[in-house]
Amino acid sequence: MTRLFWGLVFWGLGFIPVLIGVFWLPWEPTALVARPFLSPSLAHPMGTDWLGRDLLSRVMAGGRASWTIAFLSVAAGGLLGTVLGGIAGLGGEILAEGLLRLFDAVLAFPPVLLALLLAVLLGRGLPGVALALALFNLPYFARLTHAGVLTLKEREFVVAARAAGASTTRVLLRHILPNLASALLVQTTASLSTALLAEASLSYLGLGVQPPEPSWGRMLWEAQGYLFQSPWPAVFPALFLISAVLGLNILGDFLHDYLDPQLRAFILLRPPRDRGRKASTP
Amino acid sequence: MVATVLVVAMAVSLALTALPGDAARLMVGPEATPERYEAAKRALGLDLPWPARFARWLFLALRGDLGQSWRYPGVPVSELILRGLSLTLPLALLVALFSFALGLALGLFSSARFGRFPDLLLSGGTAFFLAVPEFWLGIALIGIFSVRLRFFPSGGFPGWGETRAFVHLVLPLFALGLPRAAYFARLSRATLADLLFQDFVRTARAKGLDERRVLFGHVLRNGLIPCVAALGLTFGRLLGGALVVEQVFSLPGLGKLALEAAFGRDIPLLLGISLVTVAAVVATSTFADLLYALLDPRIRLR
Repeated sequence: MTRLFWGLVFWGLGFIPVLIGVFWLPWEPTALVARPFLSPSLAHPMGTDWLGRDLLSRVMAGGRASWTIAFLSVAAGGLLGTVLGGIAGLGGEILAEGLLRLFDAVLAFPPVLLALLLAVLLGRGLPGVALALALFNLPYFARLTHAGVLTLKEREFVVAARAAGASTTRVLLRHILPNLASALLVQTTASLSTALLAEASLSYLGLGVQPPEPSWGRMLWEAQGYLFQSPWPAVFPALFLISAVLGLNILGDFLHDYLDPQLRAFILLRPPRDRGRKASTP
Repeated sequence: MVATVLVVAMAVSLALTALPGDAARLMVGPEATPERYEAAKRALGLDLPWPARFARWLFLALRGDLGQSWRYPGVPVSELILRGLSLTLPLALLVALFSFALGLALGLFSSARFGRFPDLLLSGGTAFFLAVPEFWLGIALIGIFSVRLRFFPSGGFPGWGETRAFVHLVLPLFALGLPRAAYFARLSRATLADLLFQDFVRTARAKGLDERRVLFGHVLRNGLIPCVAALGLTFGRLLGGALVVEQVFSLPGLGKLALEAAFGRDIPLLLGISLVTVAAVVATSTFADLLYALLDPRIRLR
């Protein structure tokens, strides 16, 4: 349970300021509001960057692209991957073989190279990055679903549902996917954290959000050129990113153990100290 | 395995063909005569339909000829890639070995103290390093070790002939190696800790073996298997995956080449780099599977 708490805390540190930033920002993130390279102060809690823009506002606004892309790409890749994995598991042998080859091919691509190729095709903006990360996430969900379907489709309850005349779609949606939900949820947290990291790398390289709009990766790229003048611009965007990824990883760990019925019994039974504490609280 | 590489080559080639923009027009300029334009098109192989072009490219690629770069006219793509690999390959090898050794040592240390303070401290540390983007780790290392302390250069690479070559690779090695070491540490800790409660370990202890023999002779041999498989994958992925860190330290490796190719729309170069990196990933993962079977007598290849 402590893992749930810390996971939510770290994740919240990286997410909630960005959420607030959608509605309210202390300063205009692209406006020059003070002298450059100010250290943290009351007026500018994180200091200012090389042009004199408020870092806190830029960090809060810069996370928007990261989270949007992470959520969108994981949702798209996850949904499509789950469907394709289900088709590969329940469809014919040739179809399954072809789809699995395709997943392998996508998996063999380093994500950054995939994004570079798509940047050449679609231009440097957000759509290319989102599509690249969706494509990158797809095979993980597809292979997970495929493996799950293969083990579940011979089980009695699935065979019974089929014998009762349920269609393939119904079997997949009502009987198989609910049993894979926990594994897919754990994969979702893992995919979200890799998507966040990948998005930061790509915007560092100049793909994704274009300046002057802020993004965490690009802010770090700008900060690298001015390490001599001030370290703060290189520290704060990274803190938010690291906190968010760390939180997601901890949450994923927790969910992995908690959603596994065998492990859950283990967790609840194992630490006698925790049980004692719980019993003593009224 | 070959099929995977072929699928990738076809997909990339087909996608890049669909690109807007005309390389031949770009090459000869807008005022060129139609004859010169046609000649340039023929020289680039753009006069043929896609299947014919792909077949020709594949045929030549199998003989080691990946065509000529558009950005560096007259320079073969294979030569550019070899030049990039001459830095990226040793770096990837160094990173893989460094992270494997460090990660395994930490994992062994952790699992021997499973659940106690040093183990918890290390778990926290590895969790942090897994959440850190490697390019930021690179920036942080530059900030500390080259800007403040002036121990190491902040980037660039003088070439292998120079005595200072290795000094330039120290910070990139740590930036790439530490997150991967954290991964190996967690992986080996999980496998080893799992094994520590198994019956055969209890038996080994019960028959009076000292703890060191139990750990190194019985547990490690079994726990090594997933780590060795992961080592192969790590190495393969590094060839195309060191890109961002190469950019941070402005190292002239394969990654920097890929960036140049993408931003300069050098299609043959981009196609060649994709082929090489994907082939590397596929080859190393196949190799890892074979090694798996070799190390674990319970697994037999069909």
